[in-house]
Amino acid sequence: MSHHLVDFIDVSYSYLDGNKAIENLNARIHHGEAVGIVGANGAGKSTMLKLLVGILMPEQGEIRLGDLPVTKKTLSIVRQTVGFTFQDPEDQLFNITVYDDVAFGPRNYGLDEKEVEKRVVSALQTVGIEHLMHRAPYKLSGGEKRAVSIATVLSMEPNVLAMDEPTAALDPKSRRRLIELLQGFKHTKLIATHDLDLVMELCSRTIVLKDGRIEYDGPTAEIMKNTLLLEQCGLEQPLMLQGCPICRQK
Amino acid sequence: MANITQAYYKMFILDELADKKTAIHRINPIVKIMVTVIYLLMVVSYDKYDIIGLMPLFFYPVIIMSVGDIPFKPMLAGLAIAAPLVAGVGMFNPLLDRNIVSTMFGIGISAGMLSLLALLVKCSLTVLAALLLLATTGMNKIAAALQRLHIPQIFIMQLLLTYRYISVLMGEASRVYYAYNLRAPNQKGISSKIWGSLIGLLLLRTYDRASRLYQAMKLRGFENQFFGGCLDKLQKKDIMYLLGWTGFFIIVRFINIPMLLGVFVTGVIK
Amino acid sequence: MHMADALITPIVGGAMFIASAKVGSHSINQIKSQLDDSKIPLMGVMGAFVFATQMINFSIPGTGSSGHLGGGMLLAAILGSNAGFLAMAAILTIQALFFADGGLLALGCNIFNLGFYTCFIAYPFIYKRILKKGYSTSRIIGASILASIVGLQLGAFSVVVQTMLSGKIELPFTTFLLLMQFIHLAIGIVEGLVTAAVINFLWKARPELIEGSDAAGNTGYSVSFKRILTLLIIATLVIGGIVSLAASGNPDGLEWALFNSLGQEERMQDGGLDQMLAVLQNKLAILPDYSFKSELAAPEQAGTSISGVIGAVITLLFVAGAGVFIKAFNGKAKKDKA
Repeated sequence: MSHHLVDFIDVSYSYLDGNKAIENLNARIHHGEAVGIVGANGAGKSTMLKLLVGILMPEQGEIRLGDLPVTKKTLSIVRQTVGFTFQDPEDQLFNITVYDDVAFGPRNYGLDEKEVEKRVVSALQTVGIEHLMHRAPYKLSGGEKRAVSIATVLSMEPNVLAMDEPTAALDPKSRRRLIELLQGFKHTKLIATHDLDLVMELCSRTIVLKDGRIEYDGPTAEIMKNTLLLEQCGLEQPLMLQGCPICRQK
Repeated sequence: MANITQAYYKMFILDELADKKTAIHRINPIVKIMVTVIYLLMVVSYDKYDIIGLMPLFFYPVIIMSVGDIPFKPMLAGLAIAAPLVAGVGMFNPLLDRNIVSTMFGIGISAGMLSLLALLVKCSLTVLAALLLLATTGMNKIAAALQRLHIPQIFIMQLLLTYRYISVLMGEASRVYYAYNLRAPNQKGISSKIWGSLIGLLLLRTYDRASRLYQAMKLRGFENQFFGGCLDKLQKKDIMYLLGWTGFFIIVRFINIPMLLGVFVTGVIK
Repeated sequence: MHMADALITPIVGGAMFIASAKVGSHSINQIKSQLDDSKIPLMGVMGAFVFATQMINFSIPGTGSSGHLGGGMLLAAILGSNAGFLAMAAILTIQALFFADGGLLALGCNIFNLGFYTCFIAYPFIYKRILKKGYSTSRIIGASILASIVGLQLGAFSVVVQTMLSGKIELPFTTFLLLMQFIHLAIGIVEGLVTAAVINFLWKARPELIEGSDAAGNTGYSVSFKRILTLLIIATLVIGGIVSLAASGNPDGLEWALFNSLGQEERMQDGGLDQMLAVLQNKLAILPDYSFKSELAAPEQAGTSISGVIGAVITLLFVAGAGVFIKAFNGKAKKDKA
């Protein structure tokens, strides 16, 4: 289905105070592609994702999911197609049990309880946290909360995953587990992050934003070697490419 | 107030106790709410001097605690909050109502002393009953039962959202508070100069959190509807539970069993 | 102050429950008619916010002591009357369930005492009136303090009335009233000062939050005086009706409370209220069998006799025995399973 293309066509957005957050952004993301969106704080990464799911509406330009434009009228389908995870899972998990949180979306889309249960169980199985089903979200660890927030989105069976800082505040092991999990997903992925090592491992393509504009859009391997451009955009080479500090010293 | 906060934290233990699977926990939540309300009504309907008649009502919390495997300790925190108020208002009773109604072992017992004691007993019983309802049912099921009892959905959502975010916001508030105290030792509280900004900033963050929350709900198709947890259908054991306790309460309310027992025993001794 | 279960009779609790439910359903209808679901998460999180801020101590200038924020006025200022009332009701319900703070039977009393007066009297008729002409630091301070004081004074008065109608304590009406009003005056001033500081900060940082909620109040869902009056009258009628019905057969009720206060009246012969009560006493005196004070003072069934006490002790032993027995049985069953 052409449905799975994600198109940003000349999109601009500015905040209420007039500051430009995104300026004339153009990008086409293909089915199954994993794209890392990187840039300094305030470069417009989160805004780009929020525009995609219609939390914000562009003041100029258009965003399309295949044939489907993102407008007020299509929001319901758009949000079924694109699963968005927040930077702070705490904002996303507002029910009293994990089960209810994962079931929240499917229930809102009017599925019957049997189908809801099937979806919840399969979403929890996918992220490997079936045992947390009846726990309270606020009693989970950071890594578990992140896993649940992904499950809440998976239960809607989206084609596209948009994730805002998925590895923020995760311990190394939880982060590793998350990367492995995401590697297994066939979804189109847009990942806004500061974690360039994550991008190296997960995304074949990288978009670098600076002050709301695209500075680079291309293969990840290339940009990560371009230390000059990275530095200009407030970034730094991934640690895995930066030679070993201990060996170098010795 | 810090003590109360600690008590509050401790009280969340109650909701965890509700995960147990004892016979009491498995009773239908609607039935448990009904029994609790009937019990409370019974307790407060006793005459203000009637302590002895109240005694059989202790069976209820004790049986629920032992069958439901609920420890007594977390209940104490609740008593610590409620009892001082009742005692504070009631302590005037012995001072103002000094009619000696009986002498026991040479000590005159005034009506006021009796009514204060009765007040404290009632306070303990009502506190225990309320906390035991939560500890054997849990917030989720109480909410589902309330929905079944036709409490409006907006209010139930309110209840669940507030409950859900108490721990988050308490965490935030305590971090701010500790950060303040770390740099302002030997102060009794927040200085009046920054009352507004400290609470105000916390409130702004709360506000932003609420709008993110709203986005998260909207993204998953929220249109002002609410889905309660599922409740099992009423079973025979639920009806038995309801009738059993109600019957017991009515019997002990209208027949003063301890009194009869006492008369009988003293009669036998004589 | 939270009303406690032990201090009220079922009738007072029930009547206040009905009154609060009435106000609550009015609020829900108002919110539904606005069709704005964005307020729902805000109400929930604001409720949790009030819980959280209650734990922060504020040092009170010039006194060396500290106080804390109740949050009712702040809720009303941010959310408006209806949403503020519902948020307060949810907070009190959670307190009743989790901490038995207040209690389940007294929940109706507490929602009314702490929610209604602040959100439907103090907020629309004092806070908003003062700020109608526009916002300024001094007006915000004046409005917050005055509204907080009035809200809490009315609530405190309500607590006294409900307690007296229930007649479980001996404290004379006037003493209790003076005590409560005075304590709540102090609480109200602190509450008002902190609320004013917070609202001032918000007004400067994000004026749309403060003025926005006010604008929403002016258009469409302003709380009309008539509506409030109707609600109050209905509540009074319901409470009055039920209480007086019940009082006739219940010595624990209204008459008893009045009678009790009258006993005090012989000692303190001044004050309009006492005179009013004296008139009432004359009326009541026409009623026959007015010896129940003495009857109650030597209550037979209260049974302070030796046999009564022995019976009570035996009953408690049974209770304890039942507990120990079930515990032991449970423990054994667990072991058997393992």
